[in-house]
Amino acid sequence: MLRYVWNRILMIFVTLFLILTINFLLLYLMPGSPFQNPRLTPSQRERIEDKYGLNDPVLVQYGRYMYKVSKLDFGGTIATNTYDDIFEEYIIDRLPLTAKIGGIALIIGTVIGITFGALAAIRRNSWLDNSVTVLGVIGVSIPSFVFAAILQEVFAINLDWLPLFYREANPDIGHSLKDQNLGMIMPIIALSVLPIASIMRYMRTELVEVFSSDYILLAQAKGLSKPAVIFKHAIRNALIPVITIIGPMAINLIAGSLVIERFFNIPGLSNSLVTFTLAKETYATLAINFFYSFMYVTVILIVDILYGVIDPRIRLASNSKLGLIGKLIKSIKRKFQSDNAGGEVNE
Amino acid sequence: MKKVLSILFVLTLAILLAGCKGDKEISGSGMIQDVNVRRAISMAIDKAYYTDTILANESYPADYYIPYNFYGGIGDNGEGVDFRVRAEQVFGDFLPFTKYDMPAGSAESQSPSGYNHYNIEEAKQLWEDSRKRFGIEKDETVVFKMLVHNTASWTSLYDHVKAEIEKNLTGTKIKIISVTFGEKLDKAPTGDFDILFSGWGPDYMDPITYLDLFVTGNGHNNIHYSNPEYDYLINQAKIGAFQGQERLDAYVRAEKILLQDDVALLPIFQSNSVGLRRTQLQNFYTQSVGPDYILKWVSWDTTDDAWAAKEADLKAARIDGDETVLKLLETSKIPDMASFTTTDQVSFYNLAQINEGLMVAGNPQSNEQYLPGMAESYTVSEDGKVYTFTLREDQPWVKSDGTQYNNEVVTAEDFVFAWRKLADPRVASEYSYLLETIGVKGWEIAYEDVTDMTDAEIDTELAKLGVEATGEFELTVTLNTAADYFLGMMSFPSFYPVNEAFYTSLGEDYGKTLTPENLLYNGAYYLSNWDNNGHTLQKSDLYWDKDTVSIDKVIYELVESAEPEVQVQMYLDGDIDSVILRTGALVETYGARSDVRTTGSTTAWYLEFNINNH
Amino acid sequence: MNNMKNDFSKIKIDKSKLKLVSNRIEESEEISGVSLGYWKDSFRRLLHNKIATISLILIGFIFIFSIFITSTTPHSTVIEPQIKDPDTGQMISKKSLTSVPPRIKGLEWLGWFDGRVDKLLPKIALENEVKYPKDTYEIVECEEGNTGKEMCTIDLDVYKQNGIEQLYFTFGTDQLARDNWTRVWAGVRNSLAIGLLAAVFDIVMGVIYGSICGFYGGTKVDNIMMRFIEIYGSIPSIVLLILLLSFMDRGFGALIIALGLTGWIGVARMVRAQYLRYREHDFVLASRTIGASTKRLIFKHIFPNIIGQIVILATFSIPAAIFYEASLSFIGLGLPTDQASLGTLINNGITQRSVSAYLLWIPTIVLSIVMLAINLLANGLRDALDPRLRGR
Repeated sequence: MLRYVWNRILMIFVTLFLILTINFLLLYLMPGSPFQNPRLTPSQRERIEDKYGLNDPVLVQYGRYMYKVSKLDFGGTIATNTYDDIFEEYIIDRLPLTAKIGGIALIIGTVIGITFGALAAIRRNSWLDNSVTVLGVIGVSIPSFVFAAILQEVFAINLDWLPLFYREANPDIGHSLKDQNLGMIMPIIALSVLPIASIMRYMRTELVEVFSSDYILLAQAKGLSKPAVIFKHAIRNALIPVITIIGPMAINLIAGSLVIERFFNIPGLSNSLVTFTLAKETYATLAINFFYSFMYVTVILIVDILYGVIDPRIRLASNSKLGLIGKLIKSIKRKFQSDNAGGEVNE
Repeated sequence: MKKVLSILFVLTLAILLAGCKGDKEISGSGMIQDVNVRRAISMAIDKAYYTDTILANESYPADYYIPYNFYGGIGDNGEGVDFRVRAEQVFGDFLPFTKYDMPAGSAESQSPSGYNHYNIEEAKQLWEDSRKRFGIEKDETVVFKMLVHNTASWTSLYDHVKAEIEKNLTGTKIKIISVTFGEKLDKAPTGDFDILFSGWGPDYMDPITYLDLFVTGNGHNNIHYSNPEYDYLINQAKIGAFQGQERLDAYVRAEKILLQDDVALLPIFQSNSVGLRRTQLQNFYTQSVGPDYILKWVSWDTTDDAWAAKEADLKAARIDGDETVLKLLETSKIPDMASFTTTDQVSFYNLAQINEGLMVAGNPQSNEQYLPGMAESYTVSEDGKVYTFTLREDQPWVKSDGTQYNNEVVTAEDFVFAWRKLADPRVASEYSYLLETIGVKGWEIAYEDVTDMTDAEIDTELAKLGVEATGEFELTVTLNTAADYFLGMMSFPSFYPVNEAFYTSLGEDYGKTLTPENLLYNGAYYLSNWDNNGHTLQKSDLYWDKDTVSIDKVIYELVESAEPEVQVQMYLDGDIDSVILRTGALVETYGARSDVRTTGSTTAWYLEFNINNH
Repeated sequence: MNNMKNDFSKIKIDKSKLKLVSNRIEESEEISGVSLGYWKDSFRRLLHNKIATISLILIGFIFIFSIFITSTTPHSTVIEPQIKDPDTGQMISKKSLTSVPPRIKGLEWLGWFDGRVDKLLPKIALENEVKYPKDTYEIVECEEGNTGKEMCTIDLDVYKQNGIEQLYFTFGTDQLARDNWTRVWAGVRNSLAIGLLAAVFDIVMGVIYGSICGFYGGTKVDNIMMRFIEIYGSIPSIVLLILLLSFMDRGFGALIIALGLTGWIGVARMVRAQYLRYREHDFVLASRTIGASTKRLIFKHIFPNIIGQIVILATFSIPAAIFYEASLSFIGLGLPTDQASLGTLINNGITQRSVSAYLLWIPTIVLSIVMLAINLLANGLRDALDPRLRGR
């Protein structure tokens, strides 16, 4: 077993190494230069690029970069001396806020989504069910930047209830902690629309399927009360696959959404990632990319290891002996391997 | 299901077919070599529609390259003359200049004159003739590739240019190649375009700053324009062969060659901007060259009459007892505050408030372009090549807590140190080209390949640079050629002094983002706070001219991605005191308010025709 | 279904009502219902779903209509309408046709399509009558503004103000005097085409990749290929799109390829998982034992079983591609603005929303309707094609 885990961790290093390599090559091939001052003539630009070693053979640049990375130094911005160490000064500085906003949005999305999805499934074909279906589809149908524009127009400009955008509390400029907290409301709402809609739809479908399965029939046959059937058997089992879609969703939410960040002035990673990429700030882009990949690969690893721990036995054992956690792990595993189908867009 | 799929498939094919035009398309890169084709295109675009309706900010539709309100040179009477005024005097007699009417309510009733005025009939005639000459068939469409960068605010211009050309010149098609700004910089020198969108603002107060771009072999000459007469005029003017009005007239002739004879450029407009600004703010004017504003001269009107009853809260917030506060918006971070390496407008702007060079920009209400700053006085040698500055002896270096640094004052050595840093090939400053512009003796070191030299050897070379401390407070600058814009350039941040001891104690961290303590100040303000939300400029009590400075505290709020509408809302909410109306729609909505201000600029926006197709 | 199951216990059966029909075994093997193929059955069940049917018809109608509208008015997505004034025979100036709000003949009473807008102006601007002649507006209210000047809200008839009362622009015009009606339909056409073609692209790629992985599931080939997917998938898609687009000439084709190249991973994963599932099924094993070739196994036996899943995935990836295109226009990397897409139209609408709110709302509503229809159709298709949901 230890050997398996060890192999997998080794594999992660290989994967991350390959990810860096491929990203590096792609960014190297991308046209443009980090020195985008229109005042510079091409020959002046070249001289400055020379100074930063950007015109060296690709292998030399790559070797130099990998050597730095091996010492856990991801480099900083090239054209300006804004960031010396992008990982330390930037990602660590910015992550808590986006994680907080994304986390709250995720919790809201999960609670509302599961509640209404379940209610809709229990009261199938009622007005509640129909409106949940319609709202769910609308939620995934309206682009988030339109939603953000509407929120801003209505709640900040017309009604003047909420601040226009997020501002950090700063007595020097005159923003209180209250402003800061109020400023998070709109981005949280805008962010939670997609989780609410997709979790709601997913919950409803799963619960409907559970209701039609044999063990629910058995439970009913045993004479259990309706609430007991719903809460003890149906919802519990329907929740497992629902939780599996929350995993990838959480990565997306923590990483933040480009549109929401732009509209509400949130110092997050997505917006900077796009800016850095367009500015051909290779090291900064690579560092943020690396961080994304690291989260992604780690989640897969954790799932795989947990699965690997149980694997030899569950193949033999029948599903019913698995227990909640076993089922959860199994379905997470299935989720990652199979349909990321809906491919919900979070941009 | 198969039926549905096949229907979808057929429809997809239908779209693809609908996308293909029946007409034959041919490349226009050959035709663009023809001067009459270029003239036809130049005359086919209604520039006034763009400036009046889409921008609606009193920008001038331009048939000219050197902007209006730009100092051209010295006229016969020994005073400065506006370039456009002189151009009209020289060529107005035999070129019937036509002007655009400006919209009602503008400061000027007509735009300045230029060449190849909008004229559909003539454009059509020229185009039809050219088509015949090139033997283009009726069913053939000529495609011109227009290389542009994809900034959202420009898309209306691209679409307008495209629509106008395609509408007025039958059988043309403009293919817009929209790339990111960085890619455009990469692509333009390769010459893979027929028309290129560009803009240029001045570095210094002389028309050369614009005209130099199209001299044969200039690095910015992406269209490989080459005209011996043009080169002769500009190069002779550069080495000082022409003086006074003769020089001005040489520039006027050069511009005519570029626009009227060769039609190398298609000027579109000279941008102005309309913004909202508190009516009580005084002396808040933009400069045509260098940083936008000089806060040193700005003040609040504190009289009660100036503030309306509804503005009582605002007044209380801005004039709090003895302390006056100004709040402004910053839309991008300050990337780098090291004066000799920084390259962007935000940094330059802020450096101009916290540090001071030999000269300082003059009070906008007076006629003086610049006044002595750190230099108390200066003398010029007779040939205009050697400047000797006598520095103030009482300007301390200030730390970010407002106190003096190590009892040190600004000396001539601080300038020498900073200039050598600017020229140092190991630093590879992007702005070292300014040394070449002003023609300091020994600027070539900045461009030299020094990979084989030792540090000591480089230092010896740098010591040969034409800047010398001839006394503790005496600085001597030696130039290769006399240039009358030299003094004006001395107010530019790249030439500001840097304290060597302080720099050495920090090394690369000098001027780094978010570290006000990593800088020393010798200007009207110092940075008292600088974080992710913005920065605060605090009036310096140790500044030599502190009695002129009126505003005690200037607070900049940083909102990087604020939409234009949101910026206006911030102004209306009283968060900031000045805002630019960035879209025509906003000007339409707020343009009639009493706090609207129009600000001029001398940035020229134009299209370049790819004449020498590489 | 489950209701029926639950009700079994309550049914009381009267034996006298039952009789033996036949005891001949051949007859009982006969299928009494009409034999239905998978597609026919699915299609029949899709048509039973009213919402999905309506959605399908709606999408088809919108698509055909958009092609019809845009092909009958060539070039009009770029060039403003060229209209002669019937009285004077002169061309109407571009300026009078700029930013004209929507107006529809006969629908003026609705209050939305009446060519009027509300405007807040200082009273002085009204008094000089240059821009706003007295008969073109009604004053709604006047009050003192923040800077101490009197501000008035007026209800302005833009058609009258511009002297084009004989004209009707169904969706209005934009700041470049382009007809919004044609641009919206061109946008629908382009967005749907991008969505469809990108979906086709990523489905084809995903199916090929996933099939190879799935068929060789568990071997080294599969392992390496899956590792590649993992690496590729962990690059944030927006970065991948920017990088891919920077290598190509911007435009329709580049967008489709870029969107396709970022979207196929999900398909490949799904196809692989399905292959792994069916590979072990008895019918595949059976034909393998008889000696069926690999090709036959893949195409005749496994592929037909997963085509339903693929169709569902394709339908879901159309709106995803449309969304991504809209997001890309948001950062300036979408279609060039002279080729309208719903994304570029909405972006333009956001910049114009203070004066011409209709430029934002109309494309937004149209986009939402299109997305709604595709999503509902996708739901319907899933219900119809998914064997597990059969009979429900």
